[in-house]
Amino acid sequence: MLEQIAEIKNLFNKSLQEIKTLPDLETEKIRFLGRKGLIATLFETLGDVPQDSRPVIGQQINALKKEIEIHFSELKNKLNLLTAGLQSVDITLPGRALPVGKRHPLHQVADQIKAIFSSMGFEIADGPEVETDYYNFEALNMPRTHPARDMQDTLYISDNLVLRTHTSPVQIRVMESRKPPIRIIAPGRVFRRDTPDASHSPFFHQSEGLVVGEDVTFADLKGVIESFAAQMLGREIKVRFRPSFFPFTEPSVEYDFNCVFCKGKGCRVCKNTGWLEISGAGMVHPNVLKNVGYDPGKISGYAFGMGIDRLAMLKFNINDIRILFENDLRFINQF
Amino acid sequence: MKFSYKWLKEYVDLELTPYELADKLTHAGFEVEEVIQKIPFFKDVVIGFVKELYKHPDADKLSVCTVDDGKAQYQVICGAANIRAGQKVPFAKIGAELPGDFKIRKAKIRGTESLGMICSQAELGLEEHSDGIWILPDDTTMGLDFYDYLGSEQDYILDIFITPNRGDCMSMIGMAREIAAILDKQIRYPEFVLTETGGCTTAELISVEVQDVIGCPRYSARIVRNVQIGESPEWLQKKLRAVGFRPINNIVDITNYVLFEYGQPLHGFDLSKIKSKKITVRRSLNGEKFITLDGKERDLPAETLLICDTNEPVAVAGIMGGQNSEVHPETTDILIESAVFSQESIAVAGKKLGLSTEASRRFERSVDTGNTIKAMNRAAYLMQEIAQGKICQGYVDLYPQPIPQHKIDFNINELSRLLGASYENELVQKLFARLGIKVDDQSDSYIIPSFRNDLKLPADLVEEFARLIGYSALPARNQSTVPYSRSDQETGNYYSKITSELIMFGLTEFANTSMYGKSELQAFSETSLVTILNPISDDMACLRPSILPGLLKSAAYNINRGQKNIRAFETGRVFFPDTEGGLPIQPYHLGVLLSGKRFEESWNQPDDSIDFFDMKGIIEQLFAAFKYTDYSIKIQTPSLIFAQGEAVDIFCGHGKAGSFGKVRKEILKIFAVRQDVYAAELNIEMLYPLLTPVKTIFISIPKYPFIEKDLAFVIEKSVPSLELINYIREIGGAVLTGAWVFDLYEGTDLPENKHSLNIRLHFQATDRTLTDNEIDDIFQNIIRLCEVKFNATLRN
Ligand SMILES: [Zn+2]
Repeated sequence: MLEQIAEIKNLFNKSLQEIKTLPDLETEKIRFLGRKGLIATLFETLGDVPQDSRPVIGQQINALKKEIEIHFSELKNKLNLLTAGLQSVDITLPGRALPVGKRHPLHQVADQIKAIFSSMGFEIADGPEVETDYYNFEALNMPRTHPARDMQDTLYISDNLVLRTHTSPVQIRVMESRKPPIRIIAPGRVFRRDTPDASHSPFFHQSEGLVVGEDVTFADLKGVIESFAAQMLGREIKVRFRPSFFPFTEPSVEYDFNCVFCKGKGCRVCKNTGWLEISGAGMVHPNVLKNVGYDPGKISGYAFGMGIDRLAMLKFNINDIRILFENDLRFINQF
Repeated sequence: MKFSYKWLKEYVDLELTPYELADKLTHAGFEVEEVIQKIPFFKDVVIGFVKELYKHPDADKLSVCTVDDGKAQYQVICGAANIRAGQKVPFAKIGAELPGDFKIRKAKIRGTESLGMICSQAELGLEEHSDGIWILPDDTTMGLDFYDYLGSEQDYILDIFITPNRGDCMSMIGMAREIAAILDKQIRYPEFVLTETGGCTTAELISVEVQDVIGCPRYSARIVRNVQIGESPEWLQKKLRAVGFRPINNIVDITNYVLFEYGQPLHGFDLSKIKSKKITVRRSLNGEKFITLDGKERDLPAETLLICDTNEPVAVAGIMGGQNSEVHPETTDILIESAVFSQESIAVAGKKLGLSTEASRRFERSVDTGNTIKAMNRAAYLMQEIAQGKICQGYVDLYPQPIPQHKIDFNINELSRLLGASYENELVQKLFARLGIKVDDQSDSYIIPSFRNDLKLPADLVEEFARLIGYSALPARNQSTVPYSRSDQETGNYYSKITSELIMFGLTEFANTSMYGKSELQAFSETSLVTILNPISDDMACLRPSILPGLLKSAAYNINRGQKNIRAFETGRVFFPDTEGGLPIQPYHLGVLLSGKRFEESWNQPDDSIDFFDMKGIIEQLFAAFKYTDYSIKIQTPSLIFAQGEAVDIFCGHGKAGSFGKVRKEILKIFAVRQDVYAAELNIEMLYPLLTPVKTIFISIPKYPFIEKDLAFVIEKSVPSLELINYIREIGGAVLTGAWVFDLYEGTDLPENKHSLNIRLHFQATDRTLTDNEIDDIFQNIIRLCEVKFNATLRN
């Protein structure tokens, strides 16, 4: 008899776990407490129990019955609460949308560049987009007949004014306005006389970098570029430095990142070289230091450039620069 | 510039493959943009013998051939018109793989089986286009593998980007010299012996006068007589073709060949056309005209350096020869000019004439003055060998002011100062020696070879050193000695705060061009526009005086693609001309554009269109974000941009900082925008001193509750609500902490010219809980005074 009571108790505990809805509860209630339910059956078999143990067993059955009743009633309250109001909202309808604004992907990358260099102690500098010939070329060691001027097809406003072809004039403006040490980046818009196509835009964005002081060496330039690459594109990015030529740096360098698309194995984007050209850099040319009144024998510095559009295109796998400036909401909303 | 690997090998021993060489060059500052294999790989092509052929029974233009490869015979159909029995031909067998992923399979052509293909040069990837099959010399051996057979013809073209400072490498010898230095090898210069059999001296036949020694520091010339003009030999033609040059005749080819070999531009004149027997080098006068080799008559810019037959121009110095002295089939005597013209004079003249030639490109980058005689003699020698010319004795050489040997004072400490690592003197001297840079025993300096006129300063030598040991071998340092920069310029933070606030308001940032067509911009500029002298096209000829044209263009772009709800902004520089002709004024502006519905279409959002107050809210919120309150918004005097009635100007500090409102239909039409647009434009650079965030200081939160009171005034519509509110604030005094319009009612129960402004008032004190009694006086006062001042009545 005691085993039977224990068994029903077990059955009840199991049943409690399984009841999820009010109809479930009703069915189970009948099974346990109904006129022909399990408890009733127990009471019926009480007659078979020896007289002297009948009161004790009876008491136990009563206790069980009570317990079941309490639990069922608690459960009923709970289920009533849970189900109340469920039918009043169609939760599958969409929520109330908030207007969401987006930063243009190009500026997202510019922000990232600024953040990285700020963390390395660089200040943000700026300069005009229409520049004098002096700041854009002459002061950067590019006199009028310098063949390097052909490398940059220039848009002229007048004989003496140009749309800046690079952010390098900011170097001159900053150095003219203060004494070393200097540690700046200068992001901004630049212009070239290029007909727009997938890889050319007549305007695009660069960031200049310039560090000038005593004991500034090529080793610092390498360190900064490597550190930037790791922070911008991840630790696994390798940087390659190659000699190059710019009139305003000496030694000059061209730096490449290993291809983010094929991880350096070689693919169509990197023309199977495994490397992507990023930009130029170098030690500030002694003539440039002289032009701003510094002593090139004492003061040294490095300068570097980087294409913001190009980095954005690499980062987001964009293959046509023009899409950056169409401002299609379906484009901007992806970022 | 294109370099032939095979040709380079004549001057320097190369064990490296062309690809390895390309890598070395790239790492030494000569970026190899491409390596092109001249003969692309193909396989199972053998030398076949066309044993016999007959016309295809069902096709006039096809021949059925029997081709023998020495082991077996194959029936092959061939469509080429130049095929004959007895020819040796390249024969691609079944299974052959040709360039361009082309596999040869068994085929049936018009019912006749064909077991392979007889190939043209084009089919083997050696030419762009071929007329007919490739007919091989009769003595070639049948059955030989054709790719192996061509092995000696194989070459690789290295397309190398020569930076403007390295004009000395724009030649085979120059590049070979550089390669020798990079690889630590010896260069072999060409060796040749002249035999002067011309019967007289050059000086007897020609004299030279240079009137401008700065423009022409050296002029050398030599005469070769009795040449026979004709086609160049195969080897010469092949070499010129390999570097992308079209052979013309033996004399022209020789001057071009020497130009490529030595980097010294030469010009061959027909001596008989120099009638006065005197060459004069002078600057052009105003208004001179001249017909160049290409048959074009050109207006010569003043001060252009000219080569003259005494006074009559026969060539534009260093750029292009003239039609009047050109070498032609009847020419017998050649005057070889081997001169150096100054970098500047050629650069200026070339630009003005719009001419860029192989010669001018080299002079612009400057040419070695020490090289004229060698190059000239090389050309004379080749004319003797190839064109049966007789070389006159001696030459003319005007070099009145020889350029002195250049020396650079160089302290080895410069290396550590600029590179951040120190190096042994011995290593430095060894590397420099490879470049032909020698130590001057008398001083602390290095002697620079004449062909390296790009090396001027110690820093240039630092680069040469770094280049040769390799940039990858240089150290990197992560601890800079330069202190972190002070950040007293906060403009950057200010602009990014504006941007981030607007994004928080749910606006999307656009980025548009700065260049537009005049018609797009005219309405936006009160003054004239900043225009570009040499625009890419008319629709990119002017710089924006406003951010709005770009925003409107982008709006049209999106609307045309079904994206009609636009909340956008852009910041950037705009441009106004400076009256004195100096730098244009180019402040940063902010443009905002709103159009379409306020919310994206949804079951739970109202279907309202954007209106004036959406824009006003954005401007107010933006100022609020900077805690800036000292501005006023006033009705705009009529403008070309904004529609009257819904246009206002924003005044801050001392002046107008911007405007906003509904954009006029006429403007929308220019940009093909077919829905209402609200726009704003602010000069954020001008606002910078005003909006600079003041340091935030915590103000304690009021401890005592406020009392709320509502009022409804029926008032004339013409009374600006702000006037009423300001007046109420004035009356309310210190305990009135808030007053705003919370509802506006218009209805038929009110007179037509009136509406009801429902105003909510908050009263609060910082030191006690206010009682209703305390407020009541003020409240009644407000009602009474407003009724009087604004002719308002309280509405029930
Ligand atoms: Zn790749």
